Amino acid sequence: MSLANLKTEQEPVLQHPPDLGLGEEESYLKMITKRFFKHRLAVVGLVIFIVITLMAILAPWISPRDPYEITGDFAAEPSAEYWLGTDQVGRDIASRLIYASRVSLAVGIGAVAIYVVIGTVLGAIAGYFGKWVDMCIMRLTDVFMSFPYLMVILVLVSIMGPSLYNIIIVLGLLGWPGIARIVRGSVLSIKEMDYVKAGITLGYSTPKIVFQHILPNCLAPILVNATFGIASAIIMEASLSFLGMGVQPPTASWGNMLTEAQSLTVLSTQLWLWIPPGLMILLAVLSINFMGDGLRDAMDPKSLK
Amino acid sequence: MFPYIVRRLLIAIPVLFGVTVFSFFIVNLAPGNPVEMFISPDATQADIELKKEALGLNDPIYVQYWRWLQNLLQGDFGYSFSTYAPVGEMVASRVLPTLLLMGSALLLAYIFAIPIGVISATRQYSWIDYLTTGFSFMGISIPNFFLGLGLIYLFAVQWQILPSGGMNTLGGDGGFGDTIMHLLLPAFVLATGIAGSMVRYVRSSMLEILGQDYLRTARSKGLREFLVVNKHAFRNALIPIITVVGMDIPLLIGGAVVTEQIFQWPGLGQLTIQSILSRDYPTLMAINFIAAITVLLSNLLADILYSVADPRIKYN
Amino acid sequence: MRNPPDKQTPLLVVEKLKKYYPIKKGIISRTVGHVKAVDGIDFQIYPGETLSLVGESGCGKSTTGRAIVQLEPPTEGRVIFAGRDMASLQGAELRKARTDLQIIFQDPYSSLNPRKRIGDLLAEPLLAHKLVPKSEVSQKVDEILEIVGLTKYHKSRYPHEFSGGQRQRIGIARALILQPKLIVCDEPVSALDVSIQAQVLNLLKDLQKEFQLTYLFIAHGLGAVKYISDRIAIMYLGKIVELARTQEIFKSPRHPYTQALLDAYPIPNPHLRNRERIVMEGDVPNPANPPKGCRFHTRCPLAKEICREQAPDLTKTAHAVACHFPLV
Repeated sequence: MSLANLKTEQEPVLQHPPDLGLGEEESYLKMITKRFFKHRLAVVGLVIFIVITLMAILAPWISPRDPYEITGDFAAEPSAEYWLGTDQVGRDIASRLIYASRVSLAVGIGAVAIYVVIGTVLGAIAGYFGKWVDMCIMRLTDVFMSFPYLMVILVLVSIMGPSLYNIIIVLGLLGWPGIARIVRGSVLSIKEMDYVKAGITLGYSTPKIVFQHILPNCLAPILVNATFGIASAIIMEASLSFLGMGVQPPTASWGNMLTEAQSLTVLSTQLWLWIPPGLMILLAVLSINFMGDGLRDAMDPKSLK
Repeated sequence: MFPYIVRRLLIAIPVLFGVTVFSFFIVNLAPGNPVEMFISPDATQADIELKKEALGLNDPIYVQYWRWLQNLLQGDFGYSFSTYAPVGEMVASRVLPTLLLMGSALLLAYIFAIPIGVISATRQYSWIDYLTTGFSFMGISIPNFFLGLGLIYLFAVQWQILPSGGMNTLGGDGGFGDTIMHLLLPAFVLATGIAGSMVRYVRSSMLEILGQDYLRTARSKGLREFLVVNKHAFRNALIPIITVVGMDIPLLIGGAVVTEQIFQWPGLGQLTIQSILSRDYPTLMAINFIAAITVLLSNLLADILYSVADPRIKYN
Repeated sequence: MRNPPDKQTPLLVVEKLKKYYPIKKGIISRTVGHVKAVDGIDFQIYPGETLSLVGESGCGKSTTGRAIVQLEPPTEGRVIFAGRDMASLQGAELRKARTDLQIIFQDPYSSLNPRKRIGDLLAEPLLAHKLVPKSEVSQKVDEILEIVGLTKYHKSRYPHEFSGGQRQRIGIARALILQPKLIVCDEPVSALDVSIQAQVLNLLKDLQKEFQLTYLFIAHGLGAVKYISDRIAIMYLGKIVELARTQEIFKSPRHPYTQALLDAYPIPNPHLRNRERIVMEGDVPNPANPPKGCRFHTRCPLAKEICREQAPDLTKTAHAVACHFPLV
């Protein structure tokens, strides 16, 4: 059933369109933005996320001390001198907290950027060309999806050596199947649309059709998935670093700042060592998930019209 | 239906094969050899070579893989590099605790999440809805280890009403009640993420159904709201939820690794970390294999449940 | 009426065109049969004429149209356009050749990319083939919009801001902008309100005169094509059953199916109503398993023994018909 049958329409052909200023026409992007800003949680998320991003960018100017500097005070309680106290080696926790935001954002954005590219390309190829190409790519996707994700990451990271870059690469190389499936599904449905068929008869090249006509129309689900992906990549990095298989000290990561809390003494008597970084992870992930939810609602095709 | 299941199982075989090839090669790419990890420091180079030869580590990697696969088909997972115990037995002893943990987490998550999601949807934009939305986002966003540490701090350190880790009290009677006490915290931690996303799914799925015309019809017939929600709406809202159940299993396996580590729960997750640290390849391979089978089967199960719940779906 | 078509060389020749879709079943997706959407059809289209392809839904008329513009690779048979076998072309050569063969789609809602402004949508083909210098593209787009009855003020708008009839005009402009020789009109008005259908048909007719276009016009009823076609081909279950000039189809149909299609239309003059009518019974048979012999025999009130046994061939006459017992 085509949409056409559902609509009643008046026909103002051959008339000049009502004199519309440019402001009246609403582009897709404007529509999405407007709807996103109506989503209260999403706006809260955006604000928090911007604060964290600024913190990461401005770290050298806003942190009270050098995050690697070893002061004479070991595991000092929060005070006027050390806002959030010092860790067991005597480094300023507040400064480490600020610098660690760089790690989390780098992992989240870096890993997701890598796997969005891989997933989009593979998904588009599978969906557009179909047949055995699709079959092969989808089986590969199944293989990657059947891995116990965290286990494989742990093994890979421990093999490649735990470091920031290796985590980004491993998460990027393993994260693509979800995107690939989404893109494949969208491409499968969009390539049957008449406007794509029209592109073919107009003699456009295949890359032009895929990248300019098909992919822009599956941007919404990719964007939503990528946003949630950034949040889970941040959790993943924190978990790995917490287990000692991620970012290694002395580089500060919110995850590895919590490692010491595995000892009962630290856990029970030195709360400032583990609660602030834990809250930072929660805050960062929460804000991104809020934004993802807002984006999903704003881009929901069911409520777009 | 039956041919569909057979077909899915047949497709799963090459996928499973792919998983084993991939993980075998990754695991064996690791630098450093496992022999050095557990042989005494004063062993000579010759001793190490002898050991490697005995373990078959000098063969080309595909020969090692082929040997591993042949043994696997006979139900033999090989011997652990670190404890020399048969991997099959080692893993088997860990399966039950992990199943207990994951099973109770899943149960806990669904028992709370489904009704909460339904209530949240039926009272959209009420304070209850905002509260559950807030809590479900917290559940999705809080890292397992942070929540785990927080709960240990509160329940084991401050209030001292629950144990901080392990599965049984040392020197205790090892009774069922004791295990339950140990289970509470890790199961809760593992359940939060799943429960959080489940509430979101149930809510949006219910909201969509509640707007349908046939529900208006049901109401206009004078049906009680309780019946409308539970008989007409919920059954249909269940369908998209089933897919989520299938997706939860891999999440659960990943979450179990971290949770078991924090709570010293003697399951497969803890064994994973131990085997990674000691480069115990045969054990790692066995765990990967079991996890992959679980994921594949849970996906299949979700698809089958799907067709049971939705008469419109026919597989052939 | 134009010159009798048989004195010219055809622009398009369709030879023994077949399009089968496999039906897959079972554990290993075995092919257990084929849906014979188009089952061996031949026809020619001459420059400047409009040939209409008419039949019920599922008879293969749209598949034929899509095979001609190379959107569906034919299972068998050839599509020869301007003397060239389209299947022999590949890559850049095919893309170039395609520009002479355009299509207007049925659904004006799915045929325009929702993310592109009308101006970009129409400029794109010109830019992709570098047909005009960049500086003139915008002017060219203005011209084409004017031609199809829109204005240049519409350029900066998105498809969702237009009505169905306007969208169809944009679709026509897009097909027209590369100055093609043949346009396949795949039920271009059947998704539109009746009041707008005539406007769009008139537009198509005017454009044909102005640009010497050749049309293959696909429709599911005879009503829409009466005023636009020079010749009409009637399709039934993947085969052409009758092909003749428009007046002949309407005045003296020879295939019982054609007669039945004509009889399905109400006649305004009550005095003419007590004619004999052919009324079809039952539904269109499944194209995966078409009836033996003449495909129409299951629904034909005039069917005899031979119709069940032997499939009639399409005659090679100017008024071609595939029937053992043609009317008149």
